[in-house]
Amino acid sequence: MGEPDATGRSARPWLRRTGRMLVLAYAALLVLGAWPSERTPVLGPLSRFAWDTLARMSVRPGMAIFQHESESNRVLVAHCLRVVGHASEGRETRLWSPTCPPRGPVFGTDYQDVVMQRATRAARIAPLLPEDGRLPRMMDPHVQRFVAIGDWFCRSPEAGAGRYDRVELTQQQLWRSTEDGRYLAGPPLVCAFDCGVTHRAPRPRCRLASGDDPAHALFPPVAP
Amino acid sequence: MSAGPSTRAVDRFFSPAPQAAMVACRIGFGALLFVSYAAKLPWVQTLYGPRGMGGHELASRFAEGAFGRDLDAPFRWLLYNGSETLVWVLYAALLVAALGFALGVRTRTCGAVALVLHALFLARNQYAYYGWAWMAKPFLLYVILAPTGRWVSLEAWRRGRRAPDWTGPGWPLRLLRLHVCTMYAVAGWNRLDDPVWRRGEAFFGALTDRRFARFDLDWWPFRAWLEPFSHVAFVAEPLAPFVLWVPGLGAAWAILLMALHLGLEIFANVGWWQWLMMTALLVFLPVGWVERPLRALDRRGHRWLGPPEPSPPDGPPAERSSSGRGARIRAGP
Repeated sequence: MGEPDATGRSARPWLRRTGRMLVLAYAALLVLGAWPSERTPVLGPLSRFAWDTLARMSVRPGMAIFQHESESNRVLVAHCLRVVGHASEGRETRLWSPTCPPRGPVFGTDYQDVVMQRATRAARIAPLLPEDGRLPRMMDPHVQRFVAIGDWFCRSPEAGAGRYDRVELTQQQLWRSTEDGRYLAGPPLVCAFDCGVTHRAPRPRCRLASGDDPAHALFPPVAP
Repeated sequence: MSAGPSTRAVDRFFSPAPQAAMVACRIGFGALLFVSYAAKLPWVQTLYGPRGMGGHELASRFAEGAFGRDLDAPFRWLLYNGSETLVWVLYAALLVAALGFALGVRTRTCGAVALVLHALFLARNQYAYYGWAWMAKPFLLYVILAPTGRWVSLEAWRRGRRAPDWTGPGWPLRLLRLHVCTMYAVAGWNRLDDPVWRRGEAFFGALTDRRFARFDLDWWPFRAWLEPFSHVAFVAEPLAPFVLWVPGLGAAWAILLMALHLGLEIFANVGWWQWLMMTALLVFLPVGWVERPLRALDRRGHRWLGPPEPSPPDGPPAERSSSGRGARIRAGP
């Protein structure tokens, strides 16, 4: 930055001014990016530009957390998962079937459970179901991460490791009405992964099962 | 000719500022990073390895560049890593760097290494984190840019480097304050139309959601008691970007927000969000509240871990105080 003068300031003021301008520009992007773009038509495009610019630097002005569905009169209680391996001779093995909703106090974090829950949120996957049940839009990052879960159970030494021809992942959500406290179960989403696919990206077949189907419902229609 | 208001504002933004809160953030963020990654030890290869969930083994079966296109581009290269050993090496390096940053050893270097490695692991498997991990990146950067290694640091203690004036460049501190405010702006303003928040049901929802709730309790009979907490948060967070800057009231608001975060941490597990925000809010507390305990800690550190003071040029070594390493030096006969 150059030898300091008697006041201790740099002898290259242009560098100092440039640094200051960059910091101020960054601060301005933070403030603009945080502005609710949909509420202010004038600042909206600027706000979105600021948000996108910061995103390219891997920075977010903030995060919208604890959001809920619009017109919602229910809250989510649990997002339950079960993974079953099916071998060619008909043998079935439960590879993942935690108690859901969990019982008792929970103080630690099972990070595999966290990843699986977040990657398999039915709310993101169910709208993508095409008519023939095969997941479309394999470029969709949510679909890719969902596929990663099933594929891991097919191939990982900790899980299926090639012992199964097919792995079936079932997910179901449990809600609670905020009007009368009733528990409400969503339909199970069942996706089957062909473990024999090794040379290309797996494309599971998915379908929404009936909530009354005992083979796939992860909790009874009227919950705990 | 006197400077205009905008020039004065800019000069004020870059003027020196007390650094105690940034030192506290260095310790807090470094410790948070260390503990959060240490807790992932049993799942390192499952989460980050090439044969883990969404790793290189799967990515290689997609068309080139087709997998993980939404990931932060500069940091996604762990997705193409085929070595489990490299994952272990980077993981260990991150733990060491985070601990070094918290303790104040090669502070800036450790901080930078921890930040980069954290960004790499986050990009490799973002579902292994809650949102705190994204906000931690710029927060860490601001603390790295501040001279926080001068105080309450092992390195300063061991070398006997004392810096009695706890001030330094103010712009990293002000950037952190600004970013804390924008965080509350985004979180708080996006809820204004949320029906669950408007009805005061948000806390009931958070405690009922067993993905996060720590306790297996039926909160339905108590939902009316939870409404005030929802309403307080519904008001406190959207107003925080403005009120935190008001002298006096800002500190009280910061304490209110800390209390909300602490309450949520007791009843819900959303990763390290609450600890990150409680630490970051220290930048809005009165300087003395943070600086006094840190100064006391710094004095003890220098006394216990600092180099022995040199002997006077004539006569026997002086009697030392009864505490610390100097106690081993005794006066001669």
